[in-house]
Amino acid sequence: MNPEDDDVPLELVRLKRLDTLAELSDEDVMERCATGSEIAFRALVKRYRGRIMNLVSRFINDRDRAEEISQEVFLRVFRNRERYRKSGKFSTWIFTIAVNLTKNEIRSRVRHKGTFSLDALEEETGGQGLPFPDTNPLPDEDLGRGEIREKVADALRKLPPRYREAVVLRDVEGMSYEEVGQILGIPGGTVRSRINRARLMLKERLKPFLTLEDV
Amino acid sequence: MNCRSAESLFSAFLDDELTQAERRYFESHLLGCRRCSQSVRELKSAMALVTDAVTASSVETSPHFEDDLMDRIRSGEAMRPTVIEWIQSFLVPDRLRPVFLAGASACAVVAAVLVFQGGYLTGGANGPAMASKPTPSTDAPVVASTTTSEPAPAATHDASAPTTLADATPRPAARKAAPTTNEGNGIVEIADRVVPAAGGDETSGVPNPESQFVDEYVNDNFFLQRGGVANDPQQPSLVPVSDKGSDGVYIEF
Repeated sequence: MNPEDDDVPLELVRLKRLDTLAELSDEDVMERCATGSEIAFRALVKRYRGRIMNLVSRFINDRDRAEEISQEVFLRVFRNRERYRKSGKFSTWIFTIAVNLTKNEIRSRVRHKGTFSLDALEEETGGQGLPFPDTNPLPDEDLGRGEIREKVADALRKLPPRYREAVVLRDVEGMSYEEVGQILGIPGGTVRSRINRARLMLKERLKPFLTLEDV
Repeated sequence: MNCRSAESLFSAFLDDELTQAERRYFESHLLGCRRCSQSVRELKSAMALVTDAVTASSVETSPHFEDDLMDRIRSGEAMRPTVIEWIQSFLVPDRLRPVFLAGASACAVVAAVLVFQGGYLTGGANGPAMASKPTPSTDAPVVASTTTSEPAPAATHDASAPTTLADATPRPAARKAAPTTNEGNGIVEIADRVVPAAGGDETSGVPNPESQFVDEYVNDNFFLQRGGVANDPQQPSLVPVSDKGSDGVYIEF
């Protein structure tokens, strides 16, 4: 704490520092976190908790478990803060941790069921996934949109996991092809092909709801 | 570009991830293909639908998410590293540097001792003990060369008059000559070496003029040998290279 902050309530000091951090890039904030700044870590949690929770929720059919995994993601960030290298994007790093933990969870669930095969994995994630959990009840006029949302959720659920993770990172999280490749550990050509296949599958399943636009 | 190739580029086109050349080919295909053009528009619409649906239904963390997290950190309970993290903590460059330095120092000492001992035993850096060390074999095709670097009695050996087997007893350590790569075709040519007969000065590297044959190093496991007796039950390790057996060339295993 700075000497000039002595008379200021602690919470105000914290908010003031958070404001300062708000102007910094993720990488700069993470650098401060690596030096032991709790405020910087809290700032990162605020920035990413929603995105991480959403990402994990799209693969794990259990809201509480998804939240636990999201917490574990941040714990790992904190534990390994000194190993972070500023040369890499922070978002790529944290999403890689999240994807790996999610995959571990899925594998663990499949193993507990006594089966371990790609089909089982697909069934585990695709059959009961929670791509778009409907948290807000829709008014009557929005029922049409609700139905479409449900169809989209269903179409995403039925995608094979390797296609789903690629398309979620690209279309839901807005990552670049390069970042998707880094997170999933696959080459650029594979990223391109997986995203394309996933979208073609989605297009076929959503055909009745499509309104054509000019390219 | 056909429709199948074009279809594989739909997403990259919409995401502006095509190279200039790809984009040029793709757009010229789209101009002439109504079906692909329609598909691209459908794909774009599907992407918009997915984005809308995602935006409309995001999952929020619980209100006490951050506090729970910080409690877990402060308690220390959640800060125990996993086994993998524990192992990784030892692989940090700063920690590995002393290990590397110690290893490098040990290697340097061992190398110095070996060089010193080798020089002492052979009486110099060009001693035969070093020169006669086998060279690692190569997987490249091998062609036995008939050129001999220095004249020796065995070089003029007549295939019709094979040497006695006693003379042909191999001494693998002394037989091996360094293969040289024939530039351009990757084939390894083998220089013949004269093998000293019993009583020859093996350590000095001076070939025994009474050597009875010339052999040709092929690799660490066998070599071609000129001379010898085909199908001799006493020496089953000698196998003729060709069916004829009259050319006096054998492989000794």
